[in-house]
Amino acid sequence: MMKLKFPVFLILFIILLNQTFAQESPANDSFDLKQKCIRFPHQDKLWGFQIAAGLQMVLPPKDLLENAIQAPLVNIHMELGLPWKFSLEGDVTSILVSNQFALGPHIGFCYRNFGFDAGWDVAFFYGQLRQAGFDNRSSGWIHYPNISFGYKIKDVALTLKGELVFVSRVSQTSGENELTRTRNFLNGFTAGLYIEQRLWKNKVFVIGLKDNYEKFYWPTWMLFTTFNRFYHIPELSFTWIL
Amino acid sequence: MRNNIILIVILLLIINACNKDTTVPVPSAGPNSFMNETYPLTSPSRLLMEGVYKVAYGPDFLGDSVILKWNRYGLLITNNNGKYFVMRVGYIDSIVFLQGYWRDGYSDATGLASFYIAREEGGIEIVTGTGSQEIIIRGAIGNENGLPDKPVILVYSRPFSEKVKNSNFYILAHRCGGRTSDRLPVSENSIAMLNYTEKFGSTGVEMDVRLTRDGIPFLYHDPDINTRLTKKGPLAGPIENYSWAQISAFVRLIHGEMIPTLEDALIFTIDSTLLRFVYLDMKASRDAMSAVIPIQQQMIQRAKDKGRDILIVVGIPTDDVLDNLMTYPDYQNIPSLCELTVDDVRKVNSRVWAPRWTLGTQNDLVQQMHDEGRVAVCWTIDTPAWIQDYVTNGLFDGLLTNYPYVVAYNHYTQ
Repeated sequence: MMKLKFPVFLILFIILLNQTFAQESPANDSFDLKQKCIRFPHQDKLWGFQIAAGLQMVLPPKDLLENAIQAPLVNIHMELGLPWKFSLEGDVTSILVSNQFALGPHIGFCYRNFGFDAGWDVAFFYGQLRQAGFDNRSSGWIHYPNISFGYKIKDVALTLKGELVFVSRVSQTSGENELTRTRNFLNGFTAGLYIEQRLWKNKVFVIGLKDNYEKFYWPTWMLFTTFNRFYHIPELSFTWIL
Repeated sequence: MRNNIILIVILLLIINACNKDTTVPVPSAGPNSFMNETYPLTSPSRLLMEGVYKVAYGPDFLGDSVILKWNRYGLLITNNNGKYFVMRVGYIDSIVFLQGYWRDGYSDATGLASFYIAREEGGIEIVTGTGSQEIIIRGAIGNENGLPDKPVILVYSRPFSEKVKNSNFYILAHRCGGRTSDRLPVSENSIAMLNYTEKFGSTGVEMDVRLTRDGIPFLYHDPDINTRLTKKGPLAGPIENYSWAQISAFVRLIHGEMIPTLEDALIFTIDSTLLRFVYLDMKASRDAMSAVIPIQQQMIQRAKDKGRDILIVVGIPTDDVLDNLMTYPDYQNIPSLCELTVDDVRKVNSRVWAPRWTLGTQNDLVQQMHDEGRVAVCWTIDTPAWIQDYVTNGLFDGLLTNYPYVVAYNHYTQ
């Protein structure tokens, strides 16, 4: 909990800073945040491509953590504009020993300063850890049906995103032994709040705070937990839209 | 400004949603339970109740069968998927009453349980300690502290097999008997946990040994003082940087217990429990053998003096610990448990070989250890299907686990 206080204060500080010192956009500034954001629901230009890179700091529950080394997840987000207000979104998320590749169609609508998006991302995760002579691996398929609501204030956009998390298959092996194989269960849901802020010119920075309420959190597969419980797993992300 | 307030509220709600440190409450019928009015069963009566029972009626999660096994506290009822019952038993007028709680060891589900054995359904035979074992247990279970409302009927199926009765199999529980993450009412690596673990069917324990700055061996798992295992206090950082005076004065385990010294934990184990195996898992960051071995020797002597058949072994988890042990005079006569190869076991004449379970059952090597008069156990096996496989198809003399009740079910149903 203590570890979360600093990031929370950082977010609050940035909000207040923005409120206090944000400059009015020049009248001739053609910048439109809706065309340069990744979280705020929007309609991409047809075949328009966008890419963003970021870090995700995660606080795993104490039940799982024990002596595990904590490292941030690296995330690359990509999206491609399709006809009929659709887009294709993809994410690569990695901490080397755990990797997830997600891809899914989305449809976005905007009305004045509001936005709505619905999507269905399908992810494959794969992990491998060679430790003390043991070759531990895990892989599986996870579905993330999701919806987002957004509100834009000048050059700042706020987005709330909710996801359901269905696991269709998880397998964990150590050497030749398949330790567990689980299929088709509702793993939980996530709720995230994202703030997208134009910093200068067309450079946009995103801060997100997400709560993963899940039984199985894929980056922690190597802990081989046997618990059948839901955990709140907070995730703080910093993303730079390239 | 209104937007800022909404944002701050949302952020606080999300942060407030973080996991609270929880303990699964132990359901209780309260201090005025009618069990206080019942009479305790004698040993022959208890033995008559032990065995394998068919679940004739009950919730699906109970499975097809359970075992009933007595321990120092009362009766353990357990099945193959981690559901276990901790029951008090007594009788009035040839009716046997069982009252307690059930718990799912893999999740937080729990509830009250209340059963009885009628006179004509085995009550008379159990109370007199003679006769056949045509026993039918009827009753109900509930959720948390709600009244038991789901009917259960257990029908005696068979006694434990001769193989089981003659076996010296060790059901070894991790961290003195249970982990703090299992959300039990007592802390891992504490004397309270040593006093608790037999309720789960454990017949032995692993304990994590560290060394204070002034050379006192004590029990603690993690390298640092943290709020996962301890209450908030003035000390922080690596726990082995502190003296015993500092640790005993300022550190309390998560449920308020003192961190025990190794000596106190072993004295309690020998004097106050029926545990038969203690595995001293050497977690110390520096060589602790010279501090631990004298205590081990004293405790082995204490157990002999008290007529206790208990195996107390120092663990050899790494080559470094092996090398340290070999610098100790007469090291081949120090009872040890080696987690390395069978050649290493022979090198230091370890009493116990303990390979990691993912290496397989290795029955040929286990048989070699048996032929040399050694014991073989494996660690740390937690999945019900694998536990069943290792108990059924393996030759190990024991399994180290976080789910001793699952091992107990599989062992006693052989």
